[in-house]
Amino acid sequence: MSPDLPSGGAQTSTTYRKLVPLRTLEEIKAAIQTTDCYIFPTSAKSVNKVLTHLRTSLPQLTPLQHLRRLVKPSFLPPSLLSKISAVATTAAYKFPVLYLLVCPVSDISQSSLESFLLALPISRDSEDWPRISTIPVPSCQPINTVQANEWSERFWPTVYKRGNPYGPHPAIIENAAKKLGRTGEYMALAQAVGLQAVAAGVGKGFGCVVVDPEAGEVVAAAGDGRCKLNSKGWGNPLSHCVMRAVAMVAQKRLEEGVEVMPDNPVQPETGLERKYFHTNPPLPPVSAEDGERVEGGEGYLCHNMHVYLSHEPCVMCAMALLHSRVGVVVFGRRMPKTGALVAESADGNGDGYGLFWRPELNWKFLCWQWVEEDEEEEEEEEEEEGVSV
Amino acid sequence: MAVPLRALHETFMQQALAQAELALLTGEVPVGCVFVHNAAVLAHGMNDTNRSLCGTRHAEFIGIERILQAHPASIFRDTDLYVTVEPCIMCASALRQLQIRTVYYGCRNERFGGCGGVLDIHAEEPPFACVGGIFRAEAIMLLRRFYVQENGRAPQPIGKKMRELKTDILPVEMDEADGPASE
Repeated sequence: MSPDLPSGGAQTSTTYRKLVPLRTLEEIKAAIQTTDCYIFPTSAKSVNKVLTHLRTSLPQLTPLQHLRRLVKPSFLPPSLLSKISAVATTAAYKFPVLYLLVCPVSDISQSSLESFLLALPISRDSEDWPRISTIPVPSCQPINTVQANEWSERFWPTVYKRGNPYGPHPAIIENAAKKLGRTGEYMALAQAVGLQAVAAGVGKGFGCVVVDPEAGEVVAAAGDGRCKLNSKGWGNPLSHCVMRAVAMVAQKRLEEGVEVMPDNPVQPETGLERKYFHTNPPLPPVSAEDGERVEGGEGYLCHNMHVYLSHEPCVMCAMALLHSRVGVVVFGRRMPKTGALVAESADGNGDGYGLFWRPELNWKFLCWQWVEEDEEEEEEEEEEEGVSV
Repeated sequence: MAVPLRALHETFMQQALAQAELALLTGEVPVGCVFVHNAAVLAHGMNDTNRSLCGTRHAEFIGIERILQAHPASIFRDTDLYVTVEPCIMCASALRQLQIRTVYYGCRNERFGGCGGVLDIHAEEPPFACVGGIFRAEAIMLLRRFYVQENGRAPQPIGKKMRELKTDILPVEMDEADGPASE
């Protein structure tokens, strides 16, 4: 079924939006870490001998697998060439020159390396050989070709060797993104259900939509509910849209008369919430065969489901999604003060939680931001300063 | 207060342990808690994820919702939580948003802990105080008793007949840094 879009929905025909995958905390840290390494120029004639001696006599030196070992001067970043001075370029040598990347400076002192090289039984290229320089290079391997190219232009020729130890493999992200073709619809619904909560006076303008990716069906839509007052006259500050949506999914799976939250029954508050809550027939109850529950007693009710959020969720809600084993999360606006999915801070450092992909935690999900085509970093004023979603 | 502080802490943690024991009897991961206000128990809670089919129904949330039936959320600022296992990241964030005063816990939560076990959510502004190690061995033993049980609901039940219940408790390494409350 197609979610009905209320008139004046946020998705207008003139706005183009796109999915931008979030970077993981590990990726950000890996991207900014550099190590100082030794390099020196040597002639193409003797380079093989030098390499063999280095490998056999100094096996403790660790070569960096993601960096080219030998590089022609013309392939070095111009900024680096200017720093290590032009003396060592081809003109001064009889044979073409190659730059050799030795190892991190922590492996050996420069003087030891120099005396080792001088003692080698090879003809020296020039008087001042080996002219060792120390340069910063990326410590970790790149996560894709784009990053490898960036680093090659900035530090040292870098090789991308498939795979991504710091986050989801690029191919996984690409394939998963292909299945998110209805993001515009679902995001409009997430915003609409949030706005209905405001109109009904029960919550802030935050909304959450849970979609079963197999059937393409909306399983639950929930707005924020923290302003909904009980009979005594106060509300529940933890009634965020994600917590409500996750509870709604569980409630739809339980037998009639059994409450997910006996002390705080799940209750749809607005038209859109009711529409998806009262879907008939209710969700099939989870049975042992579904393989969605394993030992440990965690409920895996939203296993691999797709979740669309108007705003980036807070730590509580992000972890609730993780506990529920969701597969994909797409959110609209970033919440720099309270959001828990974005890993990078404004200055590019990894100060955020990046909770969607943390090696310490036993579940990970893929995460995209839904941003305007031309302004990727739209940071409109955060209308509710510091309010957790 | 006439009752010595330590005895008071232990009394409340014993009530939390009793909740965890109850959880174990009903097939839930044995974690229990009590919320304490002015030296009186406001509400108790036990893990309820299996019965509710909902992965967010942790003991803390059960207790919080019971309290909110009778009191506005502002009461949490003068309320302490006693919970057998360190609150997870989700619960730590919830407790912080409610501005709980102090959290006393039994054993660390190495998989999901939000009060130092994995992340330090409790230290975010505004932070709340955390004291670990109260009846730590008892809290661990409850979890072990749960995990040696056979899980008939698992997709392929793993035979655990051969599993034995270990009773040795390794000494604390990190927990001590949290406070003096261990035995």
